[in-house]
Amino acid sequence: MILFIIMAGYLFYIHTQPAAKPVSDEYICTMKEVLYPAVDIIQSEMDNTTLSVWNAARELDGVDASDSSMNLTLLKLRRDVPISFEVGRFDENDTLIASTMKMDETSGTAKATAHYTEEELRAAGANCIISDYGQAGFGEYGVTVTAPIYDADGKYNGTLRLVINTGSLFSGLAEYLRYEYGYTIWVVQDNGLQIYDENTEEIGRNILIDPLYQTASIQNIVKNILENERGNVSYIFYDASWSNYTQTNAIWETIIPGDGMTWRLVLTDNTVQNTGEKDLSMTAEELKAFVENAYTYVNSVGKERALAEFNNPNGQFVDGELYIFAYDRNGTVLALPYQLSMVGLNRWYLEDTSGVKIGQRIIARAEQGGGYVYYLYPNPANNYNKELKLTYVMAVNDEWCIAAGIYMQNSSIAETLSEDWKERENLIRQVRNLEYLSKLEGEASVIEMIRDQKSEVYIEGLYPFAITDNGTMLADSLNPALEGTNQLGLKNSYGMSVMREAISLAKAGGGMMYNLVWDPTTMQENHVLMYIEPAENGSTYFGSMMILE
Amino acid sequence: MAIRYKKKTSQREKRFMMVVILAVIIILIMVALGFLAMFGTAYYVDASLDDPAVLLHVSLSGDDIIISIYGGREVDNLVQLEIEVEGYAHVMMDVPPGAKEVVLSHAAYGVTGTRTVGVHGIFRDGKNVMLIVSSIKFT
Repeated sequence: MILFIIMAGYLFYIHTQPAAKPVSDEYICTMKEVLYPAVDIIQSEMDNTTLSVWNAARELDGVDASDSSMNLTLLKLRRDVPISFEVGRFDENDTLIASTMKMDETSGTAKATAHYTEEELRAAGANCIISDYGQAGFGEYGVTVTAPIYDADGKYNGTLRLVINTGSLFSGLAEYLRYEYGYTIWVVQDNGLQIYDENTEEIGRNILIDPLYQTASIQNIVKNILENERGNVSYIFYDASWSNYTQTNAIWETIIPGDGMTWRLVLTDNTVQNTGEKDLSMTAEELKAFVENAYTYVNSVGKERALAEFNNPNGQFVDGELYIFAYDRNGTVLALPYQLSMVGLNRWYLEDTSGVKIGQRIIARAEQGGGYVYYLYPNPANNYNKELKLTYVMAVNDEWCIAAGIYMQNSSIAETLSEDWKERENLIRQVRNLEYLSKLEGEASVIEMIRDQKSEVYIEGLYPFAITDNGTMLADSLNPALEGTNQLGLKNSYGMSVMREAISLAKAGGGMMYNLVWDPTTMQENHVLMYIEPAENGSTYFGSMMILE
Repeated sequence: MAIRYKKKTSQREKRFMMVVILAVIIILIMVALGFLAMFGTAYYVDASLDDPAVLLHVSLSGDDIIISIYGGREVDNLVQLEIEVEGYAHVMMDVPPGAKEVVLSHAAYGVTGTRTVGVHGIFRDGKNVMLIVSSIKFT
């Protein structure tokens, strides 16, 4: 009897699932016209990356670990591959002996996360080995490109490894395809591991074994994609809201990023239609008052009761798309009412499509007590397009913080970013070039180059600067009048401490951030995307800005 | 029947016993004071923070330190705030009646690193109460 009920339930379930409808060849051809150039872009980027790593490894053949030219080669490689995190030189026992990261007393014992035998490296010929997607030793997630290094006698002497930020590799293209054509992409290794998806929750999952994909129809699709280098298919799966099933039409092609790995780049047409929900109109001041109300609530009822209320989608701190969320200072989600499955997960390394680390920026603001912060985030009221979100953060105490955000209602900024994703790579490349040149030619020389619009570091549309750790501006190509002055007190109309936050970011190793800065040429504040890194001396920071509007 | 005589205690012995007892009492008092100093003050501060007389929040904006005021049972009696930034001189600010925010302009000028910021409230009756202690990352 029980078996009958189970069978009846199963038959009812499979017959009520909608079936995928066939699409025309013409429709598929239209998608192919978009897919093939996209594949070429990624293949070309990976070819250039592996070639850069290979060539750098050849420069290091026969170079002693103590030779100062080693660091220059590593810095140059990191500059030439702006989608990289860090570069490391490992000895034949996989021990780190030099890195673009600051080496400390623990670095001499750090080991590479993947071991390759000399035979495997030689078998790859003149190709680099590409690792599985995973977490690198310094915490970031990506894939590692590895090339062997030999001593002066041709004997195997270790490896050169560069970790790629796969988010940076794919996100710019993904945003461009979404804005231009309404398509999305996801990328999977040939062993089923997803290395990119616009829904970051799916990255790192293996679509062959993860419970999320364990229906017979999805597994058939998955196997079709993994077993065939190219093709097209239609299937039923969740849309971007994860609340509805929808038909997705997909076509895919294969990318060979390096030895030992193939990727399938899958182009899909399942962008969510506008939900029709009204965008919330709220001022920055009203947003602040909303969060302040939550702050007094926490202090009146205590942490446990407050978090329970914040996690209640029907509670007093959820108003449509406006809601309170909470993090602890390590980046663990404490409250997220519309994504309760994420409570307890760590989002320290979560990036937006520009490479801004969302959780880290929120926590950095909390460490200043609180205030406004910007990042890109999918807007459910606008097809889940990434839009600039203004978020107000308040530290509850030294352990956790609360926040809420509103979309800037200015889609032109996000569209600017989607069109200028190559400009973002130039931004990173320019700053890393400043770092490289300061090691090669000295800091004073680089300061002069920043001041000179005809210098080799100058890139039109980008505004490099140099600042010390105590806030003295050494050079500022956007606002030269600030040179020699202390800029720790610089704040914008939202009260954001522009340079304090930039220096804090640089002290933490560097990265991307948004801000609002005064442009003396237009006599107004402009949104900027800023990239900053520490120079080798550790007390000077090089950065650059790209104006977004 | 044997008569038991109580041994007579000499004056010298009595004085010795009194000194010993006094010394023990003093030691006990010192130990108790020590415990109070270590834990009692903390308890007092913690107790005051759990149920603040005035609910405050501290944040940084450029070189300004902003103290936001969110009510509390004694907020109407608050007349001044005394702000301590670790490693720097104290700053006193008057609190206008009904004020929601007190801005200490340039209080963070030149301040870098991460420092403890403590805010005392001075009340109409002269009480000085620690209202909030925050760790602020200046850079």
